[in-house]
Amino acid sequence: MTRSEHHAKSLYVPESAEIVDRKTMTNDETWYHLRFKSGRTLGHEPGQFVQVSIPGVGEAPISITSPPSMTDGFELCIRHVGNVTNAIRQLGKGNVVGIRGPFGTSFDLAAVRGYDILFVAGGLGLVPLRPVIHTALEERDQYGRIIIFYGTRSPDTVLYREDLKKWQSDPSVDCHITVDLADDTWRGHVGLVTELFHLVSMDGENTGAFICGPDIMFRFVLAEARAIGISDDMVFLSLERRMKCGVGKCGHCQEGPFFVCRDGPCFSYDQLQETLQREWTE
Amino acid sequence: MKPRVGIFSLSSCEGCQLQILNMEEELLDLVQAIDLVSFREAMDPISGEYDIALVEGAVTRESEIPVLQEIRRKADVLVAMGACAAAAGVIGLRNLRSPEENLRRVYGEHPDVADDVTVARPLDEVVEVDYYIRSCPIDRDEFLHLIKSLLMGKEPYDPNYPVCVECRIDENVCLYDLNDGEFCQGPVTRAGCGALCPGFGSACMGCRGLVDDANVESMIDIMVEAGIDEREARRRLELFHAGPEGKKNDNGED
Amino acid sequence: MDTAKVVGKPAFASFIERQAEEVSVVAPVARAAGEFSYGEVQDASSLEEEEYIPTLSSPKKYLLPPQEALFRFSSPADSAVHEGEELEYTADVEQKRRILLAVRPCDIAAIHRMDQVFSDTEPDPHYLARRRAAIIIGLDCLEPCDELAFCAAVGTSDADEGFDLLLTDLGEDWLVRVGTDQGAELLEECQEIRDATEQDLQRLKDVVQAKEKVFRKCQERLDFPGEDIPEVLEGSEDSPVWDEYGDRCLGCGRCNLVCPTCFCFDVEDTVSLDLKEGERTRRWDGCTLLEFAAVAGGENFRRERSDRLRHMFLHKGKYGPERYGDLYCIGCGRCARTCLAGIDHPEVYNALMRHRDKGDDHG
Repeated sequence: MTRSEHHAKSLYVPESAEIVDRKTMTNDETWYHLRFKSGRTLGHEPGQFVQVSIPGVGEAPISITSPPSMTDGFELCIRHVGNVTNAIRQLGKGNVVGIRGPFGTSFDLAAVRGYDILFVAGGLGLVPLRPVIHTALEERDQYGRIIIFYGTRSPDTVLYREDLKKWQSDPSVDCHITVDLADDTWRGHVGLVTELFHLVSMDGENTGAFICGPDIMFRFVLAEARAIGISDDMVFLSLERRMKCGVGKCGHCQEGPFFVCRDGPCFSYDQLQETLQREWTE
Repeated sequence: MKPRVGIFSLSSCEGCQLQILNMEEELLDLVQAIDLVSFREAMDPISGEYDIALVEGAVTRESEIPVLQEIRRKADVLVAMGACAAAAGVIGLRNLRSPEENLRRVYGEHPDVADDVTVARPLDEVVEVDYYIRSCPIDRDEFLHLIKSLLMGKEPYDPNYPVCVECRIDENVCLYDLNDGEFCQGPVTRAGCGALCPGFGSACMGCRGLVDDANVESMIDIMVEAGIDEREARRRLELFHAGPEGKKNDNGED
Repeated sequence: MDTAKVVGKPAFASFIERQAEEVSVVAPVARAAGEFSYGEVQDASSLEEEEYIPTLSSPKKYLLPPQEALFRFSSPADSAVHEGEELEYTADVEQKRRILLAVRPCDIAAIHRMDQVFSDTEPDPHYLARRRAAIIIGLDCLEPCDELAFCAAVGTSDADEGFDLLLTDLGEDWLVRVGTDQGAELLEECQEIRDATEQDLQRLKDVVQAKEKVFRKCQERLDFPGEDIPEVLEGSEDSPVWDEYGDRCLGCGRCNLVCPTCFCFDVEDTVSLDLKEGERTRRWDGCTLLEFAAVAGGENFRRERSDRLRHMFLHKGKYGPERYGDLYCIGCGRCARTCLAGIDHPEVYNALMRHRDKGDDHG
C-alpha cells in the first residue's frame, strides 16, 4: 500500500468524515456510508481497514466493507461491542467521525485469477470479505466458479441480506447460507459453516479460498479446505486482534512475528501456519 | 439533561465523600455537569430520584441490605466508591473473627447495642455493581474520570495492571531494593493511584485490591524473602480485601 | 574508524558545562540504594561515576516519553467532542535540542533499535522529531557494570555506531570518536582538543583489547553465542521452561517498563469536564500485562502469564532479529535487576538451550 498524503500532518491525527447514511442491519450491527469532508477518496483495497475515532471516547479498527470501485465515499459495518462502537451508534446522518487509513494488507485476488474461488465467512467475517466478493464479481470472467459459504448464529444476525439474495439468484454464483440456531422463519440450512463443504463438490486443486470469521472457526474451516485439496498458499484469511495505532507501532496486535495491522490483517495460510498452530495448542 | 447523581454512605468513615467535597477547584464545574441530588455530607439526607448512585462503605448490618437494594432499584448506574464498597476494605478485617467475638471485644458486656451486625461485604455481594472507583480514600481525578466517562456513555477505564507499572514509570527506587522493612504489595495491587504510597517511600498496602491475575503465591515468596514470615505476609495481603472470605482464617489473635 | 580526537578531561568538562547553559543536558544521576536515573545535569561529573549500573529507565524516555499527547481536539460548536460535530485537531511535535550524555554502549544499541521500529513503514513523527533533536555522547564501558549485565554475550559491550560522539577513558584524557557530522560540528565548540595521534590510537587499542578479557565473565553468562538466540528460540514454543518461569512471573510488567527496546504503548482519550476539548495520549505499555492482547468483546489472545512471558522473549530474541537483523535484547540486565521473581534472561535462554539439547537426545 502506498501511504496517503494525509499522514503528513501526524500519523495519529484522524481526518473528518461525514456520515452520509446509516442503516440498522441487526440488533448489534449498523451499516454506515461515510464521506471525507475534504473530498478525498479513501483509495483502499479489499480487506483493508480504517481506524474510526470518536474523540474523547477512543479509536477502533473497523474493516472496510465497500469495494474499491465505489468512489463516492466508503462503507463500514460496525458491531457495537465496545466504547467507540457504542458511541458511534448514537450518531446519525450529518454527524462527523474521525478516520485514519486505509491500513493493512489486502486480499490477494490476483493470486486466484483463473481459479475457482471459495469464500467462507463466519458472522461478522462477511464484512471484510464483501468487498472481495464484489470485486471478483465485477471482473467475473477472470475467475472460474465463485462459491460463497456464510454461517451465522441465527436468522436475525444475517448481514447484507440484499447482497445475499442477489448472490443466491445469480446463476454464476453458488451461495450457501447456514445458521447455528434456526427459528420458525428460517427455511435454509441449519448447522456449522463447515457442514456446507459437504453439500458442494469442489475442485480443490483449482480453488483459492478467502476465509474470515472468529478465530475458533478458522481451525475447522482450514481443515476442511485442506481436506478438499486447496493448497495452503491459496488460502487467504483475515485476523482480528487488538489494535491501537494501526501502523505497526503500539505492539498490541502482534501475533508471532507479525504486526497484524501492518503485516495483515490479510494473510495466506502459508504465512500463518506456525502462528495458528501455536495458538491452537494453547 | 444533566444526569442526577446521588451519593450514599453505608458503613464507612465517609472519607470518600470528603474527597469529593475537597475538590475546591473542580466543584463548580462539577455541579454544572451533573445534578447532585443527595449528598449526606453536603445536603439533606437521601431523597428524590437519581440516575447514577455512588455508594461508599461496605455492607455490615442487615438493615443496610434493603437500603442498598432500593438504591440499586432506582439507579441506572451504580458505582462502588472506595475500598470499602469495592472490596469490603478495612472494615472487612473484622471478618477474620466471628461477629460474636468482635462484639464482645468492642462492646464488652453490652454486645446487644449492635444487634444486626453481619459479616462485612463489598456491594457486589449484595447487588449488581456497574463500576468501581477504588482506593482508600478515592482519588479525585479518578472520580472526575468516572463522571466524564458516564457523561459520554463510555466505560470508565479501570486499570487492571499493578502499581509497579506506575512506579517504574516514575523511576522510584523499589522499596524491595531499599530493603528497609517495607513489604510493598505493588506487584499484585491494581494501579490507578499513580504509585502514590511507594512514591513517598511507603509500602503499597493494597487498598485498590488485587489485579485479576495476581500471582499471590509468588508475591508471598517475595515478601518472605524480604524478611517477614508467611503468615504475616498473608495477613498483610488481606488488609483491604479480607471480605467474607476472610472468615475462614479465623485465628482470633491480634 | 571515524575521526578521533583527544581532549583533557577538565577541558571537556567545561565544554559540557557551557553546553548545559544553552541546551538540556541529561545524564545518569545517582539515587538511593546504588541506583541511577537519567536527569538534567549542569556538569560532566556523570562521566566519572565509578559505581554506575544501568539507570532505572533507559534514555529511551527522552525519545518516547512515558506519556505524551499525540494530538489535541476541541469542539468549535457548543457541543461535546463525542457528539459528531466537526472538530479542530492540533498536533504539536516536541523538537527540544537535548544532549544525552554518558550513554553506555548497550543503550546506544537500544536507541538504534528504537530508530528501526519508529522509522519502519509508517514513520512516527513524534519519536523521530525528538530523535533528530537529540545528540548522543556515548561513554564506553571499560568493565561490566555488575554481574547481571550480559552485554558482551549479545554483542553490545562495544559501540561502533549509533552515537554522535563516543568517549573512551584514557586516564587524564578522553579519546573522542566522532560518529556523525552533527558530532563533529558540536565538537568545534570544545577547546583544547586535538586530533588523535598514532600513540593515542595505540592506547585506545590497548584499552579495547583489555576489555575483551575483563568482559569474558559477562560474555559467559550465556552458554552459547548470542547470535544463536533466534535459533534456540526457534521451536521452543512448547518448552516446559515457559511454564516453569510463568509460575514465578508476577505478570507485573516491570521488565517491559525498564527495557530500553520495549516500544509498545497504549492509547487513551481524556477530556475536560465540560467535554468540549481533550487529547489523545499514548503511554508505555507492556506485553507481559494481562490485558495487553485482549480485544473488545473479551477475547484475550495471551491469557496465561507463561504465554505473555514467552511472547516477550520471542519478540526480543526472534521476531525482532527476523525483521531488523538485530537482537532486541541488548543485555543491559535491567529486567533482571527489577524482577522481584528473579527472572534473568540469560538464565532462561540457557534453560531453553538445555531443554532443547535434552529433547534432541531423546528424539
